[in-house]
Amino acid sequence: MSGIALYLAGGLLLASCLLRILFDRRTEGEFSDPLGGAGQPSVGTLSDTQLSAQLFGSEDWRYVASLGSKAIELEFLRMRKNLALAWVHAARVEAAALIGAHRAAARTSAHLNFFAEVRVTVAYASFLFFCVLFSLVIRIRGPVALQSLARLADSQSERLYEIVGQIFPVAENFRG
Amino acid sequence: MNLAARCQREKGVAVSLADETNAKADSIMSARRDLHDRTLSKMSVPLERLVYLASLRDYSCGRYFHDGLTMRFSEKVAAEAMKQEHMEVFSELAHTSLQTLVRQLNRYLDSLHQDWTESLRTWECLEPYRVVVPVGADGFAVRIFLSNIRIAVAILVMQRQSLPRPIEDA
Repeated sequence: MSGIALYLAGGLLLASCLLRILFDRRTEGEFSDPLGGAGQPSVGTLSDTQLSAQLFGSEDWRYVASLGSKAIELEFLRMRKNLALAWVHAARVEAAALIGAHRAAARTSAHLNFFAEVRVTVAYASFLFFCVLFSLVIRIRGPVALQSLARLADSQSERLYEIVGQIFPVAENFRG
Repeated sequence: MNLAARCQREKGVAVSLADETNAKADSIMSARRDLHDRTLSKMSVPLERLVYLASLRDYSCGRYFHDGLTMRFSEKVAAEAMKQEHMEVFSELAHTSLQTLVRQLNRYLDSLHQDWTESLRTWECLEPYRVVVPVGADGFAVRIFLSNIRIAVAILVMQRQSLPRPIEDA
């Protein structure tokens, strides 16, 4: 009985993750800003720790909450949630670009190491899974006071860059 | 020409190119210092500096023009100095906390010496802050900045509405 419940829970989690990915793709237009395209390069977004600290920190929220206006609070949370989701999306785009470059380099390489490629795949898959979970948390409880998760995403991304960089030097072309 | 002579000549070209680049960087630095000392230092609010620097840019071609600076330096150097200064001020503001931004916007609207409420309404309706962003700024910093400014305007509007209305309105 408990086995069935476990399978059901796992299935539900997987389904919700897939829905989130689909939903994320559908709502990308939400983040489009007339000026958003001006500074198009999302590469390096993660490396600006000051911006991510501001986004996922609680200083601005404490200030907004002290004003005592429900409308401002809701607007602030809506905007920050969109920004936080865009941040996670940018992290995914950055990682996908890195993996794309790695794949292109691997295709032309004569000395492919199977285990090294498995390590890259596992690191990339776990990073993507973490991004999905992070998006889920942002959607459920908002982006306020999530610095630790943002730092974790940053370190996961760093790890992926390190692993890819050990095999081919493509990682040097990424990150600001 | 033998190999040694060619190497010597190429080395000479490389050195002169490096000298040229250094000289250009020095003049840009001097132009920035000049712009800062003569104009920007007189603006105490960074938001005011940002609006001013954006106003020096031609909206259609994105180039910066400043007659005084161009007369003292070359047109290219002056334009580059303004561009760098614009980017720096923007970056500073994009990393500013919301509370500080609200305070700055309040002071900036005060410094205009016009009807404060009217100016605030213009910022709310026309969203002029969208055009103060420098070209080439990081997309994410732009988003955070625009979002913060929008909230800052909403906060000032809210604070204005909560103040008692003047007698003439009654």
